[in-house]
Amino acid sequence: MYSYDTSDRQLVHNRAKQFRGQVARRISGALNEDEFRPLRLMNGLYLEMHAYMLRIAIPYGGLCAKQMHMLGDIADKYDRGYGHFTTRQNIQFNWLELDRVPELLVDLAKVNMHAIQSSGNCIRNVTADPYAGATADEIADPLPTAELIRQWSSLHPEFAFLPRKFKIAVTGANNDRAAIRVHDIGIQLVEDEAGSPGYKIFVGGGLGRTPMVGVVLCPFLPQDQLLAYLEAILRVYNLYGRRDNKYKARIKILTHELGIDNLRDQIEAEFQSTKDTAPATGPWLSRVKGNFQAPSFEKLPSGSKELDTLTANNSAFSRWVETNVRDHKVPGYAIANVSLKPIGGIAGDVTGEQMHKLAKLADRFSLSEIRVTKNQSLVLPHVKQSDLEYLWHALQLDGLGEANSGLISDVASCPGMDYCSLATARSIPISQQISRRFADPELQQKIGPVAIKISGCINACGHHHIGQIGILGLEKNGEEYYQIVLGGDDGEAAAIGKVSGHGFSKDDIVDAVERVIDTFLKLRTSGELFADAYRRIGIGPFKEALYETD
Amino acid sequence: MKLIKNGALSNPDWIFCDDIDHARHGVGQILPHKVFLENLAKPVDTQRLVGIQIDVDTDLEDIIPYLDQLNLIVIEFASFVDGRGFSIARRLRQLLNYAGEIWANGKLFADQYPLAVQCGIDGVLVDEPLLQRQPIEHWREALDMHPAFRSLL
Repeated sequence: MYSYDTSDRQLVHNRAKQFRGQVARRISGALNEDEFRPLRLMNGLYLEMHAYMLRIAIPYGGLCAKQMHMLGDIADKYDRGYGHFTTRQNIQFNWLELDRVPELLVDLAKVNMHAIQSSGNCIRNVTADPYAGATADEIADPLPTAELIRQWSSLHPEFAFLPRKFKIAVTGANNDRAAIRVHDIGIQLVEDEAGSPGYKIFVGGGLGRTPMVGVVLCPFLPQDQLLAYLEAILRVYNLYGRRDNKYKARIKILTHELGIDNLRDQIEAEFQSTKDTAPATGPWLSRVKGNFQAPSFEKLPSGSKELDTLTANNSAFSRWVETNVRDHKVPGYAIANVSLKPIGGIAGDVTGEQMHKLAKLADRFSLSEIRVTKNQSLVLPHVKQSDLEYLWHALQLDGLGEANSGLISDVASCPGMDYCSLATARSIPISQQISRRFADPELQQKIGPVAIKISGCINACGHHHIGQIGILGLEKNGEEYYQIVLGGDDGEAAAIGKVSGHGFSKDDIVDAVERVIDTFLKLRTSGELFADAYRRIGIGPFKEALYETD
Repeated sequence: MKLIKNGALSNPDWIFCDDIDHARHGVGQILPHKVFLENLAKPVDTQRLVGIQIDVDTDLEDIIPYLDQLNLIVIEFASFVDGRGFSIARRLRQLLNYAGEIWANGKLFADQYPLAVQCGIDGVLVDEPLLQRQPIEHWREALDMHPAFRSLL
């Protein structure tokens, strides 16, 4: 994990103090509401339907046990005893009082955390592969690069007032678990033919009301040029991104309107002229790497006979291992996914008490590390295989042992109209109903991996465009209704889903989802995954099933 | 109109002029960049201080050949949520090696002052109503409080 140095600590403490002053000046009238708004947003503070919401940055989804304990304390001290993990690997607290937020930020700073740039038209919290540093399929750990980007982008004076928000994601693996192709900039660690490290840079992906898959801007950028290149991209975007219409202001629209070749030429020209005076990547990255402490893995035999026996004798444990546990690069270790999707529960919601328990489990079983995933669950990245059974029991006791990672009841959902002032429909009740409808573990196993993602409005925080089954909540004449979007993908075969047709009422939407699944089960070949079946048969049979009675 | 520079308030010894002939001895003239370009052929007092005013849409290519004649460039910020002025300042410093003064004018408020300084802007012009709401102490405090951007230190 990355350890904060003196300047990191100073920055978050100063920032907390600075925000206290800004709140005081807002109250005195020295700052008017228009001026205060971007300042509070750049500190992650939203005014929602019922109260202030604070979005705390969890850079690349990485937490240590101590930080998770603090989040648990915050849930109890400032909120109503729970928090909500988001699709961007952050956490939100939904029931805050404005005048207590500065104090909360001081508490956060004590554990090297902050809410800097978790909102606003600036470079947002950087996200990454939640299996980083643990998975065997990466060419290198992407987290030092992600941390470098966090440091570079935090309080960057030039890019605090961009045309619109700007999201960067990083992965070190070909199997894309960071959804890099649907970010403003996606970064993949690669090597050239000589084995030198570098980056493949994607640009112009994004969701929202005009979803687009990013395109390759640079197939190989030498590692030591990263920051200069990012500055060139951001400067071209800052100067030429549209500011006349907020729905056309993301870099995806600039990419689309200029064309990728033209955009690339402009970025390249800026890069060539400024690369020698831009922040130097090499020394900065070395410093960051120096502050990363490698996990102290024990030398263990590969595989665990004990684990084999236990899985053979306990079908519930075996199902959890099969569904939630992934291979680790170090012999004898495993990656354990902790589902925050209990059947009928609220996706991503965790109580303060659960946070404390998770922190203790991470301390004991995962070298103190926890990751937050874009699917609103958690990962304990470094668990000894021989500890898995004990861990599973402990998770079960805390209501965190659901064996559904990647299965149909592992639904991603934005807060929707239950909390969010932008939402046009509720998302949470729909996700709960779907989870209950498909609760049967045997049925879930039979269906296999399928990603359902629900957004309560066109802004797409629930990532419905990239769900294999996406659901978009809308409103017409005061009634909520739900569109189904099929065939989306957030991985290396990224695709934007297609709208199936007219929407369904809140009473009919879950039946409609079941008809999609029934159609899949009827038409799949033996063992075929939902995503593969959709690619093979297309949307036609699903449309027929959805609208056969029309 | 007052100038905030190095955290202190002063009366700027420059005036905005629309016409090159309205120069006054000992006072710097800030001309719209188009007026400056249109009057390049006119003989000028070589002792005179010359400044230009540009906005966020100004094509910097037009003024590149004359940068070494300029003592001051004033960037107009049309809106405080429009950050193009910050990129223009950094382009002037980093890309074009402009070494004269850069000021910001228009819609900037105290909390943006440190961003302006870190991007290479020396001074910010402020009007009286804003100064009444945000006196110089607020600007100074914003500068002191703002955590410095690391790579530009």
